[in-house]
Amino acid sequence: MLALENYLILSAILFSIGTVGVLIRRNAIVIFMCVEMMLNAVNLTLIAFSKYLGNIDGQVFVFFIMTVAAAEAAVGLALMIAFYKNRESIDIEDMNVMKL
Amino acid sequence: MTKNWLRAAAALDAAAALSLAYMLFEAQWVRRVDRRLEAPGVAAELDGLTIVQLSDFHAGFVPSFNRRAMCKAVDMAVAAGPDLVVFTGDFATGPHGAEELHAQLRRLAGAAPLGVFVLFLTCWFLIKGSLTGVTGSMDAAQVVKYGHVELIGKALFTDFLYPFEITSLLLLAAIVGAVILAKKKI
Repeated sequence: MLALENYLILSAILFSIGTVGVLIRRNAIVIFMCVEMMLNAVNLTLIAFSKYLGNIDGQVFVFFIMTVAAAEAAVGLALMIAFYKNRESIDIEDMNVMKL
Repeated sequence: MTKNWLRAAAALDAAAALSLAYMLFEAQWVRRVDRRLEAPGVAAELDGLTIVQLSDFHAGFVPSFNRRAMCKAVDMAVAAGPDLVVFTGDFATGPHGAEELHAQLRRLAGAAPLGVFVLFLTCWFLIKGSLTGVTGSMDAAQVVKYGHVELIGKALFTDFLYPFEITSLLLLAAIVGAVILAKKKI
């Protein structure tokens, strides 16, 4: 197996790409994808440490993270559907009033 | 497109400003915290010993006001009437202002009858040291024998049973929420 640092560096790179994407992009769905990428970077870190430290808890926690990510993506996309029905756009520049 | 870059640059600038403010202002805010500690194995004559612990002077760090904070910390330490002074790391980061540092140390040494102890090169110890190498029970032999699926299942349905059941409730809430949000007519 590769050394632990390689997995951590990859996870850090993925996380920073996701963060930059959330800050830069305008399309709401692309922002969701970047959030998923950040969550997956954390999953990679947990699995790498689980293998390195010989403890199964990291891999079990990844299950819960994936579940929460799925639930969040479902609710987020449903929210975007409702928003699109009102505003005909999912550009975050248009999400600028509280009243729909 | 430019507005996005401006926004990202503004966010990064805000983060940089916050860290700078932390370094220049919060780090200079010297506080005194009194704690009463129990030491079960120590001889009875040492009861009531006053130990002053100082750390992170970073003396000689050029673009900062550490001199003022350092003097304030030494004032507080001397006012506490210590028997023993201990520096637990990050004592100095440069040769700048060494005479002042020595003067403050002499003040401390004068105030503490049992002496001043300084931990040097704590960063070096952290870098040169290595992990203990103590690992848990799941090693490669176990994985070959049982397989990942059984190991994860065993943990998920014994140690993590409660979060597992709560996650099912979470998924139910998410499904109901998503359906209600996306319906054509509620």
